Amino acid sequence: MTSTAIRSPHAAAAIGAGLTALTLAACGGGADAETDAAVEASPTSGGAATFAVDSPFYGFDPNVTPAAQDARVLRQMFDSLLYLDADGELQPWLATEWSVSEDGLTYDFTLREDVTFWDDTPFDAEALCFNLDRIVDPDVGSIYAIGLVGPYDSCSVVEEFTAQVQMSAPFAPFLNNLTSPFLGMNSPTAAAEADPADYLIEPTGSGPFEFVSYTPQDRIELVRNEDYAWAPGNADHEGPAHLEELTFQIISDATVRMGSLRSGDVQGIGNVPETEIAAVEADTSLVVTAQQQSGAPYQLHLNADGIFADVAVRQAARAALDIDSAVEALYFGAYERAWGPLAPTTIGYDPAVENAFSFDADEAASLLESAGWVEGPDGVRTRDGEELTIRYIEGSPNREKRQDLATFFEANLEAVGFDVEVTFAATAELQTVLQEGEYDIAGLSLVAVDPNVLYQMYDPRFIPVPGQTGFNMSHTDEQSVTDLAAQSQQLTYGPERDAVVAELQADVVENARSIAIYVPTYTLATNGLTGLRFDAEGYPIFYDAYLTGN
Amino acid sequence: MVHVVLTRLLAAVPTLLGVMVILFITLRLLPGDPTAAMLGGAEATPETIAALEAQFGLDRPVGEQFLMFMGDVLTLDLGTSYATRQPVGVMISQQIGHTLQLAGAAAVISAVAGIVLGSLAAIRRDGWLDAGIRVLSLVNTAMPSFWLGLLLIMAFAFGLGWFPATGTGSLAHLILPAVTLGLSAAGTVTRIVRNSVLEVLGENYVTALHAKGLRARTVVAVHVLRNAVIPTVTVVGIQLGALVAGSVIVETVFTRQGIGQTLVQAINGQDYPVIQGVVLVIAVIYVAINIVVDISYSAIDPRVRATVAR
Repeated sequence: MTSTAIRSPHAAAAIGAGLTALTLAACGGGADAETDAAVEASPTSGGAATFAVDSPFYGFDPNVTPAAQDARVLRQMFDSLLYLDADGELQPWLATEWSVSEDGLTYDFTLREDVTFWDDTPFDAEALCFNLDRIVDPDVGSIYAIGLVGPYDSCSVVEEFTAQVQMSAPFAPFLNNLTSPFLGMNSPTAAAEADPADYLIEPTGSGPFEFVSYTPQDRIELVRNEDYAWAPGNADHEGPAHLEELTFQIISDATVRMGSLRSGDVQGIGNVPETEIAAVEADTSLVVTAQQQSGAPYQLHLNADGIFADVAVRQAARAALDIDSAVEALYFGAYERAWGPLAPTTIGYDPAVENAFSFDADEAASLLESAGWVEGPDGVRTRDGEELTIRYIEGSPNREKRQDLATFFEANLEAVGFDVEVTFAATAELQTVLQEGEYDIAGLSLVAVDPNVLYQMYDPRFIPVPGQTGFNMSHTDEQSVTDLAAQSQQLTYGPERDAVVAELQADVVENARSIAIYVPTYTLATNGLTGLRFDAEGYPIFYDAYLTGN
Repeated sequence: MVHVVLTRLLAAVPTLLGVMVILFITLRLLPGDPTAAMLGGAEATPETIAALEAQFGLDRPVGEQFLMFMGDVLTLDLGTSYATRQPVGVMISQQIGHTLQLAGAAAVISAVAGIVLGSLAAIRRDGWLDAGIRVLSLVNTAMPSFWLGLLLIMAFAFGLGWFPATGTGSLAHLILPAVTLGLSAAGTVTRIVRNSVLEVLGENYVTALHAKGLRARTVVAVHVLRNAVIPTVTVVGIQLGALVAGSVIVETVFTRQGIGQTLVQAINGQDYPVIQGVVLVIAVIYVAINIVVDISYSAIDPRVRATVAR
């Protein structure tokens, strides 16, 4: 639905909270083949690569833009203070050391001393403070990064390469959020000189690829930063990037995008159509990689302020859905089915939710019977003269075939006696319906690296109301859930927090507050290009990539 | 003549004003809220939302917003995009050239193809050539331009490798999109030309020309076509406006720069200033073309010229 990174073109990338580790999920033999190739061939330096994306960009000021599409480019141009390794542990990047005070309000950072931006401005404590202050400056108009710094209060330069950040309230996700491309470091010289609107389309960072030009609706061209010597520790090499030139081109039509990849016009594409994945895997010249998104998988949220107030009706609806068949039939194995409110690659994911329920139309029927909903003459159940009618809203255009899922589930639900009204609405109308609560079922997936996303989905503060978007689309307002969510946000990382997060996941599944359907997966295919990696949020990293001359 | 042009220009003012009023009201009546679209679902504090609304004047009463908008338009300021934060005038001026180039090339293709095929069909009335051209023009009109575009890309870009599949800039980039857009409009032109040629062929003076012993080719090329072309000019003129609008789809298939793509993106994001700016520009183009078409009648047809002169 509305809200996430990949879903609508301008949609938010990682939502509010934090970032967490992801593992690389291979799709079929694709990623393995790529790994093998990387081991066998020694990287060649030079050459130009073009990567085709499916929708336009909004801008390239990490402090301002909210779009996941932009982040794929930002990651190549901007460095972050920290990064998350494959185990979800924080590792040094532009910051060499960091610490948090007991009360969670003061953060100390020691910075690398050899980093310069493309315009030769040195990166130091002053630059860090400039960036953080800039994010909260109303004139800059930050849309997304401002959420990542949470209750940021101030930043002070302690020494040339030591800075201290003050928060007005504890904010556990802050360090993880610092790994996001949206908190990449801008050159204070360039950012201060330019008007924010101009800087948005001509930014200056310190990353391995420098901005060259941007043609709206068409492409952004980058060139290798020859001075780059501060790659993060998980990179495969040091020094400048292998590729000399890197272009991101917009090719919105999936068929044309695939054709351009096959013909060699472009060396990589994002968003491989599900129907093409098998064909791409069979083609030995192409390599397909699938990266599961962390955060919340695609879920159907059951609005508890209505017919779904009764937990038995919610459980009945869930038992009625043949999720395995729907996911298999629509995505051809490209997406895995999901089980709980967190995607498997999210920190704190508890596999105990898997197989906790199953497709069982008979059970659905008996649950409804015992809740007083008896079958009427036309197959629709009624109780005290009221029909078992539900409104199912899904976004338009048909992102990731979510409308097809709706049609599939409509048949499932009607088979056990629900009367389902399905509506497909474009972003603006969808937002209105959601804010006014005029629905019983609504779909949502969220990109996030931190399980804090649970807090955003099940804390009553985030129930959408007119004029305010919110992700608590199940209208969950249970004190026990609210308490758990609050704890999970304030506890620091560790077993204690994991236990709370597991308890939350179990509660959501047990009470069928939302029904997890599939794990959104970013698919990418390459032709003659190898060495791509992914960051914790699933954004591709081109620093280690090189041409193999297919 | 000057008088005619001035009258037409003055008449265009209320038309454009009407377009802007209807557009402004329609946009505000549609469900949804541009701030939510801007945020795209990102978590935002009420302060952030209020700051965004203040930045773009969305916190003012609607009446005031309309007056501000009209004032800006009169001073040729189309405002600032909510999404890209760029001045709308700059965004449009960067893109409009590509769209006009595409629509212009498509208009030439549809006019040439339409006049040639339509005349041939009329002259060979009820023959196999006529039947073939009529079927072809029907298929052409019925085939969605995105489908034709994909077929052309498959054949000439990926198959034969003659033209690039996507992008903007060179003549090579223009050919496939222009052919796609031009052919989808050529069907209508063909049918109009065929009908008007047939009509003229039945006129007494044509019989007279034949009776005078003029060669059939001369009769058609010099006398019939000149008369038959008048309704064609109207159609091509009106279609040029439609071609600007049709570029929305073709620009998307070929990922070409242009105001069509700009408009689609703006509609998805409820980017009011961009939608208003692009629609205003399209409306101006439409009106301008209509004026030019009206005036061109008198250049082509002495009968109209005589009326105008009176």
